[in-house]
Amino acid sequence: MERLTKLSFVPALVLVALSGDALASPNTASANHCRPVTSGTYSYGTVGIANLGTSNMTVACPIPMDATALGSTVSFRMRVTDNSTVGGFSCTPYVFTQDGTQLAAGAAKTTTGPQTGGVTFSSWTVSVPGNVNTNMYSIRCSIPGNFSVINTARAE
Amino acid sequence: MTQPRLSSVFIPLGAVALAAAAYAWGRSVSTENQGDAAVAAEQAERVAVLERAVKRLRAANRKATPPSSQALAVHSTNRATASDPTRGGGEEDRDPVDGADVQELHPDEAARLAHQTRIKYFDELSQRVDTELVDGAWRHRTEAPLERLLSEHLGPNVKVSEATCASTFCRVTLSHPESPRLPSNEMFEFDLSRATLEVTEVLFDVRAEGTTTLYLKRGQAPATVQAAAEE
Amino acid sequence: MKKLVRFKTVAILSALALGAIPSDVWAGATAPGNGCTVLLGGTPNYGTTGLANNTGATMVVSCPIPMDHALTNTVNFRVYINDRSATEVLSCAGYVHDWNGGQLGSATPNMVCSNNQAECSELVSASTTVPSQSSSNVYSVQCTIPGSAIYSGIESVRAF
Repeated sequence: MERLTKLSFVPALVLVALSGDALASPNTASANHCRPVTSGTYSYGTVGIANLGTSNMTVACPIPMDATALGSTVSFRMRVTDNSTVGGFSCTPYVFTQDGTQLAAGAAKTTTGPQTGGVTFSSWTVSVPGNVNTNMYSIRCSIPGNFSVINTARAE
Repeated sequence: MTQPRLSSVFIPLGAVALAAAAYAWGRSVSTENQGDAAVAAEQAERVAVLERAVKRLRAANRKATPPSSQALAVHSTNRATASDPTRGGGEEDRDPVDGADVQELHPDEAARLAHQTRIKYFDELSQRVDTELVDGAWRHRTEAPLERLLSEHLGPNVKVSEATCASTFCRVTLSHPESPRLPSNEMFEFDLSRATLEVTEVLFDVRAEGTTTLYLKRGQAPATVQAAAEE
Repeated sequence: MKKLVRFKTVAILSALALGAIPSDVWAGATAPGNGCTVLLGGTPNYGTTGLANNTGATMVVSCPIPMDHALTNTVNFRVYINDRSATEVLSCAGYVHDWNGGQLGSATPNMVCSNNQAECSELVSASTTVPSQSSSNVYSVQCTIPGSAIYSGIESVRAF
């Protein structure tokens, strides 16, 4: 009985032990935040950016974040639609300081050339020792043409 | 006989419900207009008292946490990659600088502490590269191609001063005296090309302007994903 | 028994404390410079997180800082600027608006390189005090970026 009483306060302690940013935000950003890094023909949708050209173009998709400092392992996720039978996506996640200095880069995730359809890039982590809430998160992608789309980007 | 059994159910439920209600109330309070200075001041004082209690409890909790769970990210990252590639969030990887301690500090103090954490982390990582047993085969197929790719993509203003691959990390020191940091466009091109090598993520030690030390973690590059038509 | 009572009391108080703390204890947000929108001028160069003016002409941009919570009445702005021009000044000003678009405050002084340096890469700051705060207020920084030297631009904007 006494043990059960003590155990009942584990939920309360768990809440206390969790830091504020565990309760606050990871963030999923619309790919409308993406910006063209190389020239190309593109358009924005309600959610997303599409490459209207015939060949790949490069965009940078920042993920706005609030005052939360993410942990020393940051997970990224991105949802894309590959409409090209010629080229494929190549995307790399990044962490930058507020002065634009690169802190970390993840592995590149790619899609095949011939296949078309939706893809979720996940299981995508980057180590950031000493992460602070002024760091910035972004995924840079080479988007294939033929109306291939980046829908969303997420960091947590 | 029945009463103790009821208590053993209701006490835990009550604790959780109380905490959840307090949380919901706290969140709703923060969205209201706090224009009333007197109310705001009273609330601030109350919050300060409660914050001190929370800090004391967090400090006690940290002391109770076994040292292994506060290990550097290099250990937790290896654990994550080796055994659980799907793990994200990184709450248990959080070092003392991350999380609430950073949020409660002045931004400048938080940045200073983070800087210290990073220097310590990279000093230990560098020592690891110098002391761990070398995987000769991996070194042979990684070190020279890495140097070549970096030189090809980063251009003549960035020089590879040193490249050493051990068995879990490669360390590459780049000298770029004409600019404080590496060019991001060219780094992206390098990042795409390094998929041919057995390295995954890259960490940047940027403590000194004009010099960047990269730590490239050994691992298989992710397989190409096959897109699938959606129904 | 006494220890258990004290433990219970502290645990409950602390759980309430965590819930009761308004979310603006952990306040502010940092937005990348490539989120800025051009108000005047040509097409900027976007980086992974920053923005640069390589057009040869002056550019004016507005950089929103997405915020999901209320800040305190004193709002601090910080911008990391790269001012590469020896003849013109990269200058930024921070603004607070309500959700109707009414201006509540503008930060002073204008954020420029310190010490009258002709060129700098620097974190510059300013602050403003608004009469009341709300989580629906919006924060932005407007910058004039000279075009007389390439790679002048904005890396990040922050309000807290």
